[in-house]
Amino acid sequence: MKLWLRALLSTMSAFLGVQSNERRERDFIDGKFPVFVAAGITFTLLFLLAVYGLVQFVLWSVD
Amino acid sequence: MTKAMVLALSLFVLPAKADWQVNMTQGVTELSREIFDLHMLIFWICVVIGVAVFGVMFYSIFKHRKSKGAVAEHWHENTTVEVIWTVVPFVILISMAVPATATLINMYDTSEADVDIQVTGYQWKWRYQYLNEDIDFFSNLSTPRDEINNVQVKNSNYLLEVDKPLVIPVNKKVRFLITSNDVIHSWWVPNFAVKKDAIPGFVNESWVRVEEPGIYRGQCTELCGKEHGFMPIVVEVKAEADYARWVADQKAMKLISAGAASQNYAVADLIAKGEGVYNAACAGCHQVNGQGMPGAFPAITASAIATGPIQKHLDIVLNGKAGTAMQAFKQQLSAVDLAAVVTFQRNGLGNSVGDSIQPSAVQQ
Repeated sequence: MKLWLRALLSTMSAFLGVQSNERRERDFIDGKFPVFVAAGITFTLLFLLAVYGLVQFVLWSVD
Repeated sequence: MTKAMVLALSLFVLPAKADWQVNMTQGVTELSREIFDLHMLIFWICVVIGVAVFGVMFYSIFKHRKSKGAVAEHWHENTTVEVIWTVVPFVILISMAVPATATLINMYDTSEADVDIQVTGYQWKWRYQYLNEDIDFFSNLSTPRDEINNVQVKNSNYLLEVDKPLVIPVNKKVRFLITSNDVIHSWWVPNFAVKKDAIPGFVNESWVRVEEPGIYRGQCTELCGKEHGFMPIVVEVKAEADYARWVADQKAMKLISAGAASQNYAVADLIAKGEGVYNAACAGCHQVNGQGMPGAFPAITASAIATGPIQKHLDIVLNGKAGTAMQAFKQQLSAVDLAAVVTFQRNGLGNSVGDSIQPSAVQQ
């Protein structure tokens, strides 16, 4: 699996609070710090967008 | 158990069962029913989750018990299961939050109200000011002191009755602007699903559109001092025509009371009227017999103020006394009531000063 894809999957797991020990160890051996930072920022933005979208959906459904 | 014993026990059980209401009040407005339905939806979701989780847990404990030779497995992680038990509650929470938010938005939408009423909490009464109608009055507990003191039998609306109820029209959006004059109170009418804190210096908003004329009762629901349990709320919902008549009556009564304030009254009449005013407005602290509560509320009987110069006495009643529980009654009572209560305090409750004051002097 590509390095960035693995970082993305690991970051997604971190957002759920679930990670296997095997992947964690692999991330610490192979992983690159900047890739994880970029993935972290991406997921944070996605999370914010999801919350924003959900609130907009609720407001729309009330009107 | 003998039949007699069953009968005797049922005497205790049956009336109690009739009075029982464990669930939330459904109320008489569309919003109150929406809140009730939301409450029930969330309740049933919790029941299903509870039954499922505890069912699996108790089944597992029983099925795999040690006496049957079960041996615990040793493993560190199972990512699939962990993802499932994280995602499932997340989805459940979001699906509960969506209808809850929709209801909350509806609750907070105080726009386009037909009637605006400022509700102010006082220790221990409510003041209602109709912002567009020039109507302003206080609503005091009207339960007789004798019922409170267990001298008389308590009536069915014990501690839930007032001298002047809040009156609102049916099928109109009524906005409440809720605040307080002294400490934090809370204005709560279960049938309207309205329960809002009344905080000094803040204005909280709420609204109601009642569909059925009737009388609805509530209470202060924020511990606010000695008489917290003695400041009920009564709301009378009237048909539109009846409400219009009531508004007209209030305005007419205001003119009459302005006229009444310029008349002169006999001392005996002032004393008789003053006793009623005293019992409604003063007896909560100073007690019906005027003896007060030593250490908390001073006695009226033989007090330096009630037997001293009348202007000083009037000043305390009108403006209160800073740093004590003595409120300013200037806004709360009419000139006639103020003159009557001061005259009563000087010539009743064991005092016999002999002087009196007229409403016209109070107004000055």
